[in-house]
Amino acid sequence: MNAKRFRATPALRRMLASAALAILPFGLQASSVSALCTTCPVRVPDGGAAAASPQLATVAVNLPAASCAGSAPAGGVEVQVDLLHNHVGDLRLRLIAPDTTAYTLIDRLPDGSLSCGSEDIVGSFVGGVAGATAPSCQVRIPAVAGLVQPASSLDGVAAAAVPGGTWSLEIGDHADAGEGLLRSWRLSVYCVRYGLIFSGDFED
Amino acid sequence: MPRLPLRRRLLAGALVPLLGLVGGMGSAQAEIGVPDTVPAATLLLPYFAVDLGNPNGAQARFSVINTAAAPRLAKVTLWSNLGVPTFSFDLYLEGRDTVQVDLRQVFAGMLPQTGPGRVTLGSQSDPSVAFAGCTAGANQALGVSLPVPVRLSDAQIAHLAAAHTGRQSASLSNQCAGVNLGDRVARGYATVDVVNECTVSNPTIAGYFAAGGTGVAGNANVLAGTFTLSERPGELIISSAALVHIEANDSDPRTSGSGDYTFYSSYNAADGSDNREGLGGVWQAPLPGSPLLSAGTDLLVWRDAGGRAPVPFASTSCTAPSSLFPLQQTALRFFDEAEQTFLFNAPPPAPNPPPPPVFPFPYATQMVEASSLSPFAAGWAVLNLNAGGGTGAPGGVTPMGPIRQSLVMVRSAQGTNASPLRLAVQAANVAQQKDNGPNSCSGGNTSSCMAFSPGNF
Repeated sequence: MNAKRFRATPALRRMLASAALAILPFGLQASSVSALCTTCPVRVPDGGAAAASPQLATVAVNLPAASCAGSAPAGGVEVQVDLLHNHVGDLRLRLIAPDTTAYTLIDRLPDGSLSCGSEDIVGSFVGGVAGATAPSCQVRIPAVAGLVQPASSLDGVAAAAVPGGTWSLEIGDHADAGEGLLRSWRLSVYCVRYGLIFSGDFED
Repeated sequence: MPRLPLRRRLLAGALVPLLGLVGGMGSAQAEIGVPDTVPAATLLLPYFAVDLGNPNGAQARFSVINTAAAPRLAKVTLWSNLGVPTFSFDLYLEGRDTVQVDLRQVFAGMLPQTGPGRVTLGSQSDPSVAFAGCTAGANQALGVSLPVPVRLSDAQIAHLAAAHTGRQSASLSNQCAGVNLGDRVARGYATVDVVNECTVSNPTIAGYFAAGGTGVAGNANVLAGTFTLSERPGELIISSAALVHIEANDSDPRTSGSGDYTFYSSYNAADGSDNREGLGGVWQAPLPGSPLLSAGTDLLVWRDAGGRAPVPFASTSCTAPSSLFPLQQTALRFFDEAEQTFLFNAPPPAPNPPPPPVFPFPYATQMVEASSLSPFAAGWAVLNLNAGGGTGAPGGVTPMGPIRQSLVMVRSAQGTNASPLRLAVQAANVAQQKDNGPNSCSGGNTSSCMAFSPGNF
């Protein structure tokens, strides 16, 4: 019997997580906060020939402070990215916290011994969620999609009360011959560890 | 980290057709009326398809190279599959610069951002130049100048999609620029001209061309380029070739006078002001079919309306283009590898009535399977794409008579993920036919003359 892995979409998980809030034991509080890029779309300039001095596009969002009182530590972090780019292997994406702590989401994705030459990142970098997989260079478009395991752990974001303030997505282009367009990005922090709730196997 | 397999295949691989040009830069022999790959004033991407509903469907991109040391401006114009200009934008190229244009990104609203100082100049490049008009960034429904916006407006993106998938466009007063083929694939062709200033103009607008390259467009033969068409049914399958390099010459008698069949003559009342060489009228196309190949052979056919400019047309379904279409042909003859021959749409012996005419290349640009035209698995074809005579209906009264400019490329599968595109052999150039009659042929070669004289079909 073949088992098929069930993987809820971020939207479905948010909906189910919201529903889960309703059945939390009385007295517990939970919340989530989210911030959407309001200055997008933003260009990601071509990196040029000098990899040591990449071109950077830094795009900020303003995340309201929130307390996951009663359910701390926070349950999940999601960085949704919709990025048009014709050479994903050129790129390093980092999430920058208000205290300037940097969390690397993806770092010049390789393709074997080369850099990934495929196109576009349209997916969610998630922390604290089962089912996320390490990114691999796909020939298909988008090259990176779905639930993606970030290069560095986002536990630091999820481990405590969510700091409000200016969070930034920093996109560094480290090579020439390819520019991009950040169409949107969103940072969401959930107080419920929804990924553990909805991870399971389904039969065909 | 070493650079990329995909880009290497898409771009570097696509440069192969230019190796002779680049390697022999400065020594390449340019000749008006011959489709030679030498630095040119205009580049033609003869066909593109961009699947707007599936990023892993058909896609297209091309590169533009400035072979000279001095910076240049280039005007990219997109045309519908009926030859109606739909959108234009400018590129700034430093000396020896290369700019990539990914049409998937263009249809998503992202134009290449170019301009002085964006790249580090090499030792063989002259200093950057501030061209006239390149600071205003004019932005209109059908075109933008430099600097280009971060993203095209929603209305411009919707216009591009509608115009190239054969749907009514609000930017064209709800008229159609292209014919609807029943899918969400944006089709058309593109031209790239050397220009002297940033504008929202295009080759159909008065003043764009003036004799001697003194209008918006220039005559410097400095551009080169390649293109790739790709699909990803699973693996990446690409077709690549050099763009069509169209030289300008304001002193050649074939490209400098009123009535000359120049490349843009359909759009400038054949006044010769574009000074660009015309393309062929008759083509000989090898058809290297093989049962070992999983895919067949396609004919990429670009066509001109013979001195008449297609314009947007009113239609709710965009399926009934103007009277210029379908574009006709004189004759299509196929030979197999044993010299057997087949005439497409041939009349049966008398007294049987002739069959209704069939025009398999009805639009300004298309890709057609060769197997749909001929019973032969391999061999070659003579495609007389002039109008009238043979199996075609009369060509009608046009500024160019029955002569029709066209271009043919052949795509055949090789291996699992490469389908090279090759330019067919030009058997007759339109300028030559214009001067010497529609049945004249290149170099007086009688064997090729035989092939396109209607009486021999």
